[in-house]
Amino acid sequence: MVLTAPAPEAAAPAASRRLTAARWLSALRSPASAASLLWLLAVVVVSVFASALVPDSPLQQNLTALFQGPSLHHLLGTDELGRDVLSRLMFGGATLLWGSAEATAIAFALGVPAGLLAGYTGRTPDRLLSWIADLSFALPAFIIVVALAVIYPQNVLILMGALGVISSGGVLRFTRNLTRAVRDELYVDAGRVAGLNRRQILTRHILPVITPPLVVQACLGMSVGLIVLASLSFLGLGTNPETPNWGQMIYDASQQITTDPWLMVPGGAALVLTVIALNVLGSSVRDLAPGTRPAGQPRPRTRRHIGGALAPHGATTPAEVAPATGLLDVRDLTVAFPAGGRDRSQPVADRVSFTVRAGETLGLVGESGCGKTMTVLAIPGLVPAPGIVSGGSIRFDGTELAGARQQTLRRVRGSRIGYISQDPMAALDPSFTIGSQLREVIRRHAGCSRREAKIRCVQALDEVRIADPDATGRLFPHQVSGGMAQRVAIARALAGTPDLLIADEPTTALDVTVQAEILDLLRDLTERRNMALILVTHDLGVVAEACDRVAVMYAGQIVEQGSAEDVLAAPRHPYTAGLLNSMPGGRPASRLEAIPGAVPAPQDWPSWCRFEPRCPMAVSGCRAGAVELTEAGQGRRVRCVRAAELAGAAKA
Amino acid sequence: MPPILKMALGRLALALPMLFAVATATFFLQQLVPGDPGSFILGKDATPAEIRQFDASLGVNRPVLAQYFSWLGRAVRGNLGTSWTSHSPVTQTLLAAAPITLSLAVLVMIVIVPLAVALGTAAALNRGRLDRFLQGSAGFAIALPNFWIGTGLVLLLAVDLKVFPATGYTGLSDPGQWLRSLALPVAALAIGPMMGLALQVRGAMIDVLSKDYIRSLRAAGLPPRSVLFRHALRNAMPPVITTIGFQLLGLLAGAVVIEQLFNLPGIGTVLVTSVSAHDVPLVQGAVLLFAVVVVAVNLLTDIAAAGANPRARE
Repeated sequence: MVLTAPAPEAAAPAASRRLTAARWLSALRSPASAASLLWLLAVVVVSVFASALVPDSPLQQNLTALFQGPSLHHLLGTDELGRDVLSRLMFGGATLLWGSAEATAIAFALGVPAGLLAGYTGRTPDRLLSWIADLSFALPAFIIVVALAVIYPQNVLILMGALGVISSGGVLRFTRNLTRAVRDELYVDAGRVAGLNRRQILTRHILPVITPPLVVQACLGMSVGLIVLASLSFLGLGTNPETPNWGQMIYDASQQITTDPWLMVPGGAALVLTVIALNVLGSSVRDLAPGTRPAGQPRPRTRRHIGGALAPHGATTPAEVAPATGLLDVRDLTVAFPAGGRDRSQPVADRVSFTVRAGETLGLVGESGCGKTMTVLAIPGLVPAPGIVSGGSIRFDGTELAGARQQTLRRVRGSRIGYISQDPMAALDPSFTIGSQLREVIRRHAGCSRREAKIRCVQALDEVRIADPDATGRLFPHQVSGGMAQRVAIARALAGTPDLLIADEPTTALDVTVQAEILDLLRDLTERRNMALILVTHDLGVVAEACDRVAVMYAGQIVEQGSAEDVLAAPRHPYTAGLLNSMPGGRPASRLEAIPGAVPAPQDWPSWCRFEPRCPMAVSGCRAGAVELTEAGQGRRVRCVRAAELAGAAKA
Repeated sequence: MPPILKMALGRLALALPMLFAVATATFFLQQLVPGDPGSFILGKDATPAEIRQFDASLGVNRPVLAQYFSWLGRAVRGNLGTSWTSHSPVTQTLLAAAPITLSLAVLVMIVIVPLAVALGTAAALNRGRLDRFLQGSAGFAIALPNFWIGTGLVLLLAVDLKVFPATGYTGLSDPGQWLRSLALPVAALAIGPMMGLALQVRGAMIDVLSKDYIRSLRAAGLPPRSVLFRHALRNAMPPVITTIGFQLLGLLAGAVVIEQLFNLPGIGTVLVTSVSAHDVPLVQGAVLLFAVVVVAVNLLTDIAAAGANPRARE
């Protein structure tokens, strides 16, 4: 038994993990943790004042009243010697409590300073202390404590002290890992620059951040200590009969189990409740870590503009007028996530319509947070839970995919519609070689033999211009570059010869030089295979280079669409114009300097024109109500009340 | 040299000095025992001459260092001395008891690993009633001491229903009885770790299922059974393997208590009875054996976890 969990959780940004008294209190607000705290307080108080509180002496025998069940006189009954069970129970917590507190205190007193030192200084102290900690993991702690009982029978102080010393290795390693994670974070550097000495950095900056996880460990350590000492007592090694504890009560009860099973309950319940209380308290402190909101508490959100998005369809939308002619026809697609109360949902893509013809490349453009990814994920039915497609239709080559059964979607995925994601390194399974995951997908679609799959795998890697397909196939994903991984992801997405490829920001995570190569590869592949492509991007430069048509999204809606040439030459929506302006000298820039502000979060979308708050051309009419997407000739559609004026301005 | 072998050798190099330290510590443990063995073991009725003769026969009146080196020299060759109470070789006693503890540990693992993986995976996939049940009952199951569960099981299944024997052990020569005699101890030991492991599997699976590569593999058209059992489960394994190792070590401690409760003559029982009888050579031998097992389990856990994670193999 070791007093610590194997590894600390992933480090969150340190500054946000600093805790105020209010946050500590908030951890105790849930009924379970409040009840746990109350129970522990009660156990401590009863243990301290047991002699004043007990109704009877715990050792007072009464041979005329054996094995009495609970009664008014003996609330928990009497045992095999007629002793009052409640009194024994009230006395029985103290030894366990102090014993496990002692072990925990010793483990932390030794482990925390050493862990801080090892984690903060690194180098030689770290190696030496980590070595000692590693050594302690080879010790069977419980066994050693039992063996020590040869020398120190019934000596709780020494036995639990030994447990504390052995467990300090685990505390050391835990503290060291936490400290190291915090050490290199920015604010510590800032502290160093500000001229604080090591002691000040450790006490002011590192200790406050690592305290909550240490408190969690201390709670768990206490509960392990309780069980260890109770087990020792059960074995008759932990305490002496003069000071009965819960473990010993359970042992005594187990000897009388056929006569009076009830006796198992009081000691067992007291022990279990105390251990549970410690664990619950520990986990509620753990919930203080940012990013882990306690269950059932939704993120606080503003409710101002929620209505507009889910309002019933009003005016005839152009989408309904246009005939469905493409390989893929998306009509009024709405993707929503549950929001706050029952039956309320928040759309993140709102009545999106577009068409992709066979062999055509459509650019889906917008800043992050505009709903592009959710829109394209809806097509093969891969919107992450708890999101759902809450409205609209997705017709792909005659098949309805919106709300389709998994079976239907599975027939389409990979073989008709391919998908590649933004981060190629994260898109490949890290546990399998590149060749093995590629061959699995190939065999799935071609239904061929292993040998055949091997040949096809090499061909597939060759097609995405990987120089040495044989050697690359034997590598694991972490052994190749991002550009190479994206080529592999493309090869995997194309293994089922899909008619439509969805590429979600395929070049964003890559170096600039590699970006051009990947884009070139995609263009080449679509041409050779006559494959349609939906290219999600925030970069109009990419659109100019690779797309036939473009749809610009803002805040969940399409705000402008048309042929790439027309839209880029004469944008009619101020957002499109802003995106264009943010490409100085035609070079793509990741930051949109021309548009101040950022895309609002879905719950903050206005019920009128969603771009109005950031729009340089906004007039009072923009706030009159929701703006519809309107036909502007030659396949152009614009969602702006001033679109006509803008078109005129562009012509002039 | 393959990276895994290199890592294993590194860990072994760390473990051997540790075993040596444990061996040395257990030897000097004997020196700390108050009083001399003769007067304790022979009791109050023994004459001083008898006690002196008894102590001389054990060799405990020689200089400590001389005793230490001769003990160490014999221990390296597998001779851990002779029991002070039964006068049979310690190694022989331990080897006779080992299969029982081993049976317990192996059976517990056979029971908990598949159950925990199934339960944890199901809870991760279906975050509904089953998930809430797992989270609620796991907290309770982890807090229940195994000896309490064991006693309850005895009452229910041995005393009342008479399905299983309450105590005692039947050897492997009668496999049916062997399994019946171990059923209750295994159940008592398995419940807590099983729920703990299920929680760990659940957490690891939830983490892996949200990964980009799982979505990408689904998008590539792989069937759910491959995505789930080949890819997701495989990637969830490293933390689960580490937990299994920890629980195997916890089981050793649990076995000490449970063997007592069910009167199984395993290593735990040898340890506890020799502690009560002040049979120091037997205590030393049992502690040393446990230390070797801990080292071996840690080593195997590290190798298995590294084997499951390609990034750790370099």
